[in-house]
Amino acid sequence: MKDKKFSMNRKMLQNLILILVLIALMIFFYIQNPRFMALVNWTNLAKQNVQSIFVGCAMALIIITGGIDLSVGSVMALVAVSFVYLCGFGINIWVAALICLGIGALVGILNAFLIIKMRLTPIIATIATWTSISGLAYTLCKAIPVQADEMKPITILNTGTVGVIPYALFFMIIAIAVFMFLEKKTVLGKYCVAIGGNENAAIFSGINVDRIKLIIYVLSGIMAAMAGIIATARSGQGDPTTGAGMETVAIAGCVLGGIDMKGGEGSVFGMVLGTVTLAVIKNGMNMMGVQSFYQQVATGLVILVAVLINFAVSKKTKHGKSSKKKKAAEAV
Amino acid sequence: MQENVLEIKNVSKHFAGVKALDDVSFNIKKGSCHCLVGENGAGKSTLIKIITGAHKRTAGTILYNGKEYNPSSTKDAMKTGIGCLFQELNVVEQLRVEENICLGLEETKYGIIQNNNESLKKVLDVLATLDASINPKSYVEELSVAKRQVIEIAKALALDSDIIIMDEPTAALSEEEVRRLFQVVADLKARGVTIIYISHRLDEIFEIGDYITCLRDGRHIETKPRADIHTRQELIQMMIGKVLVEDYIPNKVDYNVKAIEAIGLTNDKKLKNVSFDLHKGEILGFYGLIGAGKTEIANVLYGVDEYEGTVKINGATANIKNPTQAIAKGLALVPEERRTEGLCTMLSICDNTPMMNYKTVSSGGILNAKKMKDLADMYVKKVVVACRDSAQVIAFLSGGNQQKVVLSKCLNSNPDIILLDEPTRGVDVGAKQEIYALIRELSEQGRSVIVFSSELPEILNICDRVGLLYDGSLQEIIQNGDDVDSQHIMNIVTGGV
Repeated sequence: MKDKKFSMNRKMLQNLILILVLIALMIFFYIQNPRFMALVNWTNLAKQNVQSIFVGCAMALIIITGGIDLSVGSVMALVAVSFVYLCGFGINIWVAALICLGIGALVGILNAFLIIKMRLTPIIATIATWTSISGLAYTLCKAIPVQADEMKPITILNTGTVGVIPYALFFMIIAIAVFMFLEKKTVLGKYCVAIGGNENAAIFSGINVDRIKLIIYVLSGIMAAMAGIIATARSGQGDPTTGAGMETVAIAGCVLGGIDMKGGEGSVFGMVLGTVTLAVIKNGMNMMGVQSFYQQVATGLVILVAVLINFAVSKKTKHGKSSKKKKAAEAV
Repeated sequence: MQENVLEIKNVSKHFAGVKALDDVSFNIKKGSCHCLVGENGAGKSTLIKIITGAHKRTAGTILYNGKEYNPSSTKDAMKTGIGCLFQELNVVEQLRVEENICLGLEETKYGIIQNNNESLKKVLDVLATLDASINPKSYVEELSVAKRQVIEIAKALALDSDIIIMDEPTAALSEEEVRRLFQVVADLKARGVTIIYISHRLDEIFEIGDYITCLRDGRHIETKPRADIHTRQELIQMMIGKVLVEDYIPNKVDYNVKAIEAIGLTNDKKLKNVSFDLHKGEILGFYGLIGAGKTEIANVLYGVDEYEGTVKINGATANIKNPTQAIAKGLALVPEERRTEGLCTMLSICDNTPMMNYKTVSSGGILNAKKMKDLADMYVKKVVVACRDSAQVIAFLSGGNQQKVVLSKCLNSNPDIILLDEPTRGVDVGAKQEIYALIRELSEQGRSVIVFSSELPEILNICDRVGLLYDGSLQEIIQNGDDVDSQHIMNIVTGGV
C-alpha cells in the first residue's frame, strides 16, 4: 500500500533525522576532544541525565494528551528536602523513599484535580502548584540544604555499578522500557494519543478522559519524585534548588523529539532521542570548553532547527488535500 | 410491511421561545434509507440533534424499536445503537485506522491491549466489505475525507448500530467518492441497518432514498415513499411551499459603471470559474444552499482566501491579498459568523465600532476616548441599536443588535462596496426589516452591495439581480422582478438543469 509506506516513513524519518544528527554531533565532539568517547564521560552522562529521562517519560505522555506539567522540578525539590528530613527522623530510608513517591503522587492528584474538576488549563494549574510546592520546599528547610547521615545508604543509587556500568543507566533503560510499553501496548497510551488528537472523538468513543488524565498526572508526580530521590542520592543532601529548570529540560527534550505541543503527535522514543541529543550537546560543548552562555545559544538554535525540520517533514507527508477540504467544510 | 425502527411522535423543541420544531410526527422503517429534506432552518438539524442526544426535546416521545427512547448524550445514543456521521468527523488523525475503529472498545487484559482477537477481526472484516482499499494499518491523517467517513461508518457498525445518521455526507466528496458512499449505503441497508440521510442535493435523494420526509419552518409537511414523488418540482414545492415575496423595489442602479468585475474565480476551497459584475448602486444577491460557495466568494473578494482569476475594482485589477488591502480599496465584509468573525463579544459597542478604521477616533496613533464614544453613540442612533448605552458589552445584545454593530463597524470604514454574508441569520423579524432598510439606504447612497444568503425571500426582497450557486459554480444570474420564478430558482440551486 502506498499509504502505509508513507506513514511508516514519516514517523521513522523524524526519528532517523534525530539519530543522524546525534551521530554527527558525536563524531564532531570526538574529533574536537577524543576524551568525549571515554567510558568515564559516558558514565557521567548517564548519571547526569537519568533524572531528565525519568521526568521526560511522563512528560511525553502528558504532552501527547495536549497537556503539560510544569510542577515536576518543584516536586523534585520537595522530595529532596522531605527525604532527608524523613531519614533524619529515623525512618527507614526505603520507607522514606516510598513516602516521597506518595508526595509526588499527591502533587499529581492535585494537578489533575485543578485541571479536571476546576477546569484550569494545564499550564495555569501546574504553574500554581510549581510555585507553591517550590515555596514549600524552601520553607521546610529555611532555604538551607538539609543533611542527615541516615540517608547516606541511598547514595548507592548514584555510585553503584554493575561491572563498569552505573545503576543510572539501568534505571534509565527500565523507565524507558516501561513507558514505551505503556505507550505502545496499553490502552493508556492509545487513549493519550486519542485525547490529544481529538478529545471529542475520545469522549464519543466512551473513553473516560478524566481518568486517563488523572493517571498520567499522578505518573508524572511519581516519576518526578523518583528523579528527586536520585538527585538526592547524587548530591548527598536535601537541596531545595534540586530540579530547578527540570521542566524546561524535559519539555525541550520532548519537543526536540518530535512531540507536538498541541497533542496527539510524537512518542516516548522520540523524547529519549531528544533528551539524549540535548545532553550530548551540553556535554560535548563542556568538553570543548565552550562558555556556558554560548552553550545556551547553541542549544536554542538546535531546538529551533530540529523543530523546523520536523514541521517540514510532517507537512510534506500529511494528506494535505483532505485537511484543506476539511477547512472548507468547516467554513460553510 | 416492515416494522418501524423509530417512531417520532409530536416532538417539539423550543429555543428561548422560538419553535425550532413544532409537533413533528413520522415513522422510520427498519432497513430503509430515510431522507430528510427542507430548506435551511427547516428544523432538520434540530431533529437530528434530538435523535442523537445532543439536544433535549421540549415535548413529544420517540420510540426506538418500540421502546421509549430518551438519550442523555450523544455517547448514550451511540451505545444504544444510533450512530451519526457528523459533518466535522470524529476520528483521531494520529491513530491508525484499526485503532480508530476499536477506540474505546479495545479488549484488554490488565490494561494491555490484546491483538489478534475475534472482535478485531470482525471489525476488520466489516471495514473490508465497506472499502477494501483502506489499509487498517495506515494512519487516518493520510486518508481522504471520503475514507474517513467510511471509518466512522465502520466504527458505528462495530458498536452494532442499527441506525446511522448521515448529515450532508457528500459535501466534501468527489463524484467517484459519492458513488462509493452510495454503494456503502446499499450494503448497509442489505444488513438491515437504517440510514437517515440529509442532503441538499435532491438528485442524491432521488437516487438513494426509500422514504422522504419534508420539514418546513419546524413543521412536518409530508412523509412519502420516494416512488410516490415523481418529479423534482414536486419535491421542491414541498420544501418551499409558497414563497412570500415582499415588495421588491428596484434600486437606482447605474449599469454603466462596474464596481466589481470578477472573471473566472477558482480556488481549491470550492469555487469553479465564477464570473460576475457588480454595478454602482446595485444590490446583487448570491443564493445557494449550504456549501454552494457563497462564503467562499465573499472570502475571495475580501482577501481571506487565495484564488485564481481576476477581480477588477472600479476598472482596475485589484490584487487583494488580505483584508487590510481590501478595506483600503473600499471593501467591507459583514461576515457569516458575527460572534467569532464579526465582533469581539467581550468588548463594548464603543470598542467594537471603530475597529475597521481607527483613523476616525485617533490622532497620531493615540486613541481619543471621547471620539470613540461619540462615534459609537452616533451609530447606535443611526442604525438603532437597542442597548443600555454604547458602553454595553456585545455579548449581552440580541442577535439583531449585534449584527447592527457589525454594520456600524463596516460603515465606519466608509466602504464603496459592502459584502454581507448571511446578514440576517439568527435575527428576529423586526430587526430583519430594519437591516433591509439599511441595505437599501446604502444602495441609495450609490454604494454597491452583495448579499450572500440562503434565504430566498430575503434575496428576492432586496436584490436587483440574483446569482444562483450550486456546488461552487455560478449557474445563472437572473433579474429580480415580479415574474421571478422561485420554482426555477430552487431547481437550479439543488443541482437541476
